[in-house]
Amino acid sequence: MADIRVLIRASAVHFGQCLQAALMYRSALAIFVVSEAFAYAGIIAFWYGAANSNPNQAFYKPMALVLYFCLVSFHHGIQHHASSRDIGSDIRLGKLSYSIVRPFPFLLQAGLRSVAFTLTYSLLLAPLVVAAFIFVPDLWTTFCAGILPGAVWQYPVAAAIGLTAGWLVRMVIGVLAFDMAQIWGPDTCFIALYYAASGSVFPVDLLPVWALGIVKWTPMYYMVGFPVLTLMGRLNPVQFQTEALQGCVVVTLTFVILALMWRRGIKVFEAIGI
Amino acid sequence: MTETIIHVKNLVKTYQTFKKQPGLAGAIKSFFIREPVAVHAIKATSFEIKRGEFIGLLGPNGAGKTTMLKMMTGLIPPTSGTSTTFGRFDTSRRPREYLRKIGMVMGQRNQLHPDLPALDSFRLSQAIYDIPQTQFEARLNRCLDLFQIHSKLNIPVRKLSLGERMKMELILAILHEPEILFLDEPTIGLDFSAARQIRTFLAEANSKFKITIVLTSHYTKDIEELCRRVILINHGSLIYDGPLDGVDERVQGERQVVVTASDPKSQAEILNVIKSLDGVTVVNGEPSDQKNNLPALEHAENLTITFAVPARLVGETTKKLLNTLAASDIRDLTISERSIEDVFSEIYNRAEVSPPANLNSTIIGGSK
Ligand SMILES: Nc1ncnc2c1ncn2[C@@H]1O[C@H](COP(=O)(O)OP(=O)(O)OP(=O)(O)O)[C@@H](O)[C@H]1O
Ligand SMILES: [Mg+2]
Repeated sequence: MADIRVLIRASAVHFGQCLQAALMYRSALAIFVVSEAFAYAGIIAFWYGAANSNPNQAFYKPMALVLYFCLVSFHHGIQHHASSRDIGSDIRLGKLSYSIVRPFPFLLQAGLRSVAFTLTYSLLLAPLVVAAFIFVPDLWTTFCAGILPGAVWQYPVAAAIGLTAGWLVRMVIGVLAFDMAQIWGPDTCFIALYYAASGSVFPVDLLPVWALGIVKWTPMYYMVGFPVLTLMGRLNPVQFQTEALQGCVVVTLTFVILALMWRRGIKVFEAIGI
Repeated sequence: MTETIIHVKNLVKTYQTFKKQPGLAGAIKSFFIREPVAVHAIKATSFEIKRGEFIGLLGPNGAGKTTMLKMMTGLIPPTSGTSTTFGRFDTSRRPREYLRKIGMVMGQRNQLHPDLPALDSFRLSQAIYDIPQTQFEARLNRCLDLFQIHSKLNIPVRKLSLGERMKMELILAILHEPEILFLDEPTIGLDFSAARQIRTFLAEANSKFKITIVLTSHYTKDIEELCRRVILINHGSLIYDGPLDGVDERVQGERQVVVTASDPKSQAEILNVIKSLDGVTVVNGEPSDQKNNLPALEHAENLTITFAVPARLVGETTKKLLNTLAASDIRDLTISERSIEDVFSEIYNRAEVSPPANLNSTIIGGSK
């Protein structure tokens, strides 16, 4: 019990320090947010145009598309920030060494670091969102009309599942560094799959039914598509429950894979030469 | 009877790597076929360390010291064998109770968060090891006093100099009052005064707080001042384990004689004479040593023979040597005291040419 108390206190301190560290890169973060704003604008403009030229998509009328991609950009950014991509270099460059011989679990540290970075990102994004609502005419009414009231409790659940799934997948890729010198190969594969299955480049429920069935068994779907579709009221309560459950299964499986890989990896870990 | 705190038994570490021929062609070849090579970093090694000891783990570059230290801390698992700590913990399993009792500093890596001031890392340590506030402050202040480094406490670690960072690393490693401290080259790259402060710090940690310390260092000063017992490793094998006095006796009691011959022919002759003398150990000058010399140094270096002789015999030995040889054979002759480095490098060199087993007793007069 005392151990748990110590662990919680240490976690709180570590989390606070990660936040501090994240905020120290203020110029980098500011630039990141600005570039993000341009990316949002680009994506929205593209889909706005695409939607106008192809009005046959039953649901995705122009404003729905704009809404979809606003939400996607937000989730994409958060996923990007929460990503556990540092883990690979931690392993390869020996930063892991000290963590291993301290009584504070490394995976917990990595998790807290991700949460801290996600939080910083969300905080930095807030002014951007506020600015959009102030300066884009009618955004408030159209945007909010697209989000259904039922999503108020569903969305946080969906977002939590999505973030966990995303974090775990990146951890799994990072942990490959125990066995390979460079993990950008698997990382590139992951990004390709992410584009195909997450709904980050097209509304994921436009996929044929059979493909959607497959995609819903991958963590990528839960990273972006699931929370966005939930927020937009594209899933009825039964569908939402089924997919949330399915998402939990996917998260659990990914976690088991990570735990096995970690246990094996730590046994073959050779630290770094020097 | 003091308790055995670390028990290393038949520890072996074999690293698996791949051989790559140099150049692009090699890279392409190794892209398809990789030739695995086993690096035998540590060959079956056993020793015990008692509570309160200050051990110097020595050996030339690549000897396996860091590997040994990593296995002793539990950072990497051994290929075979065990390292047991406090009589009950298998270090490779890293039980939490064990981790709370050790500290580690590697001169080449840092534990402090680079972007935050050292104080933040200390605070994290306080939380992880559950150190009460009053004790935390007392310990921290004592360390800061010793290092005179109060003013650097709130500066991001990234902006500290090497010596300042090293001091902070040491403070971090010792804040939770570990029972064993593992140090891998903590004085690397430090100026003499910083290195001296660190030595004082370590000596105090060992004598006042009874922390058992295992240290690797290439600076003989660290070893001479701190370690009462040394463990020498070369090519992954233990070649000497015993008090530093054993080495010291040879430093005190022996003289080093360097003879420079006028030509290779005289050199062979001189070598023969030296070998026939009593109590003499040839350190350098055997034909097998010549391969170590660079071609450019042929004339200056290859003609010298270095040998060690007990101090009481030095007059007799040189007299015999000079009487037997013609004056024209010898270009130069110097007699000097031996340094601890001379003795170590002699031991390392010997270990390369003869099997290490018998060195334990013969080279240093083995007080095992
Ligand atoms: N991760 C690794 N993978 C493969 N070989 C390794 C690895 N780490 C060390 N080695 C090899 O093991 C041997 C021992 O290395 P180690 O780092 O223990 O030496 P050392 O005694 O600490 O040397 P130094 O004084 O240079 O620090 C070396 O030959 C080195 O090349
Ligand atoms: Mg080393």
